[in-house]
Amino acid sequence: MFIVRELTSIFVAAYAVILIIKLNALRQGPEAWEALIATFSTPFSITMHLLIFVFVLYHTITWFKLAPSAMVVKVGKRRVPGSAIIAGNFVMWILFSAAILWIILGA
Amino acid sequence: MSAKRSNDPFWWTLFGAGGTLSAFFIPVHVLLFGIAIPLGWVIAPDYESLLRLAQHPISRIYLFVLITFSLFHWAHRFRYTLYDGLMLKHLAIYIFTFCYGIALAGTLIAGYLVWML
Repeated sequence: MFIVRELTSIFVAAYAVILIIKLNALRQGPEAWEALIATFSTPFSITMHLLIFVFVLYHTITWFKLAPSAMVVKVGKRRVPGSAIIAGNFVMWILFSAAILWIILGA
Repeated sequence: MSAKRSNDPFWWTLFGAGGTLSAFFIPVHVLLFGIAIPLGWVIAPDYESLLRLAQHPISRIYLFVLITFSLFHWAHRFRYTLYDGLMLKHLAIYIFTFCYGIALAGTLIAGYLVWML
């Protein structure tokens, strides 16, 4: 599974490129944006995005699970247990995602 | 691998920051624009509203940082996958140039786009 974790970065980068494509369409104007939205609606694009989604989700889960070994959090003198750090990351992730959805859909 | 990684704290910091940012923020964007909107689960905001949202200074910084750090995250991980996974350590200089060259190009393009938006 180590190699799968390493490969998730390809999908992260792929989506960074898609973000660049989206920004470019947004900059070019309404026609370019509508054309991109139409492209995103094709079965091929939806399949690709589902694939990207599965891999970035795997990246998120594995990244959060490693978080306790990357940082030591202390409250007073007591070390916060790793499971609490992982849970905290997941809660923050849900809150951030909900906030992003709220901001974009409310635009 | 960990010994090597500790030798380049700069690239590792970019890798770590990109890993964290992408873990928190990429899934929701993929889900919304790539799946939920195309499948009609939610209605996409119109062009003018989205453009106005993206033009907000915080949005510009957010998008630039998210794109750039995600690319540098990839560059670091992919570099070591090629070194260790495919035993290509002897091509290190080419792999390094390729990976960070792409990340740098993406950074410049993203910077130009958020600036000109």
